[in-house]
Amino acid sequence: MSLVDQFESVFRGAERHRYAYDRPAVERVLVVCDLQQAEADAFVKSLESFLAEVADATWRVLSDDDYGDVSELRAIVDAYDPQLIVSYRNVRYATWRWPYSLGVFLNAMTRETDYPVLVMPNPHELPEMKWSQTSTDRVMVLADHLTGDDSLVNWGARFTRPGGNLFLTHVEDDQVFERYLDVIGKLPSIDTQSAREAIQERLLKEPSDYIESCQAVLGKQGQLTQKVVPLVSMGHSLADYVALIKEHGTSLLVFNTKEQDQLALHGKAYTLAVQLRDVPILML
Amino acid sequence: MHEHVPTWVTVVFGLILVAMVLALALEEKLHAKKSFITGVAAVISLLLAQSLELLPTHDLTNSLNETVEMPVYIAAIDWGVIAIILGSSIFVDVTSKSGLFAWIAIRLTRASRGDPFWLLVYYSLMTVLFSALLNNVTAMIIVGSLSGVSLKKLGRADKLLAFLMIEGLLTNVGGLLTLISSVPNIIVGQTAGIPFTDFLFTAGPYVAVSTLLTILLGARIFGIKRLSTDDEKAEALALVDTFDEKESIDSRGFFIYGAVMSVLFIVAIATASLMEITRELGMGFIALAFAAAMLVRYRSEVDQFYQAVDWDLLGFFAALFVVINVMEHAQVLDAIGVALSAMLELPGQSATLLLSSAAASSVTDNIPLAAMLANILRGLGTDPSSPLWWSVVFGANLGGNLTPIGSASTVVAVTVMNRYGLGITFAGFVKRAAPFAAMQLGLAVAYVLFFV
Repeated sequence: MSLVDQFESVFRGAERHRYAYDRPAVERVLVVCDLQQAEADAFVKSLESFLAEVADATWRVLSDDDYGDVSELRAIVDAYDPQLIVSYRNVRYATWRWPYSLGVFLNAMTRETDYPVLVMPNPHELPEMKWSQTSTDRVMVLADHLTGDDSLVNWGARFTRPGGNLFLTHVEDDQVFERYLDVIGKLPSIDTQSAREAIQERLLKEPSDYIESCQAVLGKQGQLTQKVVPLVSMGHSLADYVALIKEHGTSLLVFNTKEQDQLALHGKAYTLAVQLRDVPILML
Repeated sequence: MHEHVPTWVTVVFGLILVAMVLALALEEKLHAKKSFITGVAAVISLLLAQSLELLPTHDLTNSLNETVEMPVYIAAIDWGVIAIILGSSIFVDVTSKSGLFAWIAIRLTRASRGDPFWLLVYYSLMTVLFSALLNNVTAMIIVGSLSGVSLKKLGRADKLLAFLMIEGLLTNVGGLLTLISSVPNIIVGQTAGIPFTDFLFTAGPYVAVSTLLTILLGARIFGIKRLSTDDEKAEALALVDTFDEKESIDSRGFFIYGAVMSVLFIVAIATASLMEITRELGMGFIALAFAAAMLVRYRSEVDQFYQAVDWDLLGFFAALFVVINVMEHAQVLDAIGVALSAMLELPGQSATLLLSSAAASSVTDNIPLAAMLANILRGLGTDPSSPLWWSVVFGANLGGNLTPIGSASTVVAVTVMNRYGLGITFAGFVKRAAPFAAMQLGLAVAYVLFFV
């Protein structure tokens, strides 16, 4: 390796993504449900209690009679221009009995709009609404590439109750890592063990540094009293993610879903959203 | 030395010297390293000189009155110079592992607040400083690689060619500052017996003025201006603030040790001629001693630093000293000295020597040039205070700025340019460098004529 390359690596390595806090504005909330008016009112009341951090926003509720098909719903959403949409899995469809998808309406809202969508457990499927007895005091921001994603952290911080825990989670894909290490193992010019240790250390260091920067900024901000907890690890399977979510008693999950070059939801987002049916998820 | 060497013998050896110099100028085309070229020249010269019985024997007598055989190719080498280069390169290599140089580089980047003009000023000063204290090539590698990374980060990649060009040209200006800043300085300084401090105080004012003018000229020619709006300044500051100088430091203890040792190294070199013990042992000893002190941290893996030593450069020097020694015995240097003496009798001889040295070193290696001219000047009995020594120093160093192959550091600058796809050609480099080289050489001529 040339000395120029060595020094370039040193200088690139000295570059740190510094987190900048920008409080997301939530002044208009649109609740999209398929309940009748009385049930809808009760649902929203529970929501306002659960989402105490945005309770002072203006809430508009679309109950079963307020919209027809997807295009009609889209028109209402565009006209209202909310800063947060709240709905639940398989809204307007009884397919919640066969929990293998999110439903057409929710898919359209997550894919065709840029608004953050808070996906709640389906009240038909889980009528006891256990989430309504909790609060957003254990918010987990989940990513496989957290470094530099200020928006994701901002939303997590926005919803975390004062005194609550904000878990900033980065799960580095160990399958991809092993695949590259397998190739490196076949290159005689690279020491495999050194490469394994150096790459793994670097992969985990960057998100750790970024979270450290989040802790410093959020602490300095003074207005936030949450505890920022770093969770950086290797993993890949749904079980790894679910284990983390369950282990920390997550009351609200936050992750990215938008993928610029595809229609489907980002990475593991869809799988998690479908599978974790009893956990409220903020999909950005 | 033989008093009566036939003219044809001197001519034959002169042709070998010319062939070697040409081969060094065309080393890229020949796909041959410097050490190989000079090594071949040394082998041919030695064989021919031995067969013509030109070489003396160099047997020594030790304290037990025993005769120790000393072949001419060992005695011919200036081991003091080899020791300085070997010791300094290991010292710099190990010290760079402490993160010290990267720390300085990133601190200066942040101090510029991302403003292109101030970035140019800081990088230029850093280039001169590193060239003076380390060596030209290391300075260009550090500052060139940082320029590539930081300008890309700041969205100013269009200015990278300008930065690399100015930095490349300043390595040879910074290389003038001290006795150990470049190999021609070491050779000329050692041969003339110029003390470190005298060298520094003589070259210093020129380096300061030339650096300032190069920066201002570069900013004007390449249109590098200060940021004007508050938004631009805030954006640049935010981008440059993402660099964290602490990231380059693995061990705080070793970082401090590296910084302290670097200061002590410079002090020791600067005062070498003032203390009897170091005056006797020489600067080569100091360089090797400090290299050993830095290697303490890596004592179980010193071999990795030995592997990183530029053995091509050391082999080149060793072979070059042998060739020059043979040329002395074949009276080639005497012949060149006679021609040079005639030139030195003309008015403005310092300027003539400076400009001809610059012209020669722009197309070939300045080290054999400096070594040859230093030997000739010594042979002519030139006084250590004569400006002619400085003509060789300025000419050999600054001549490297005329072409992209004129010095090792401009070669590195062009390598970094090509790495970033800037596609600089030989003619393109000469055209861009010409105003700077003309200014620096003009200033040097005036300085040598009126101030040295």
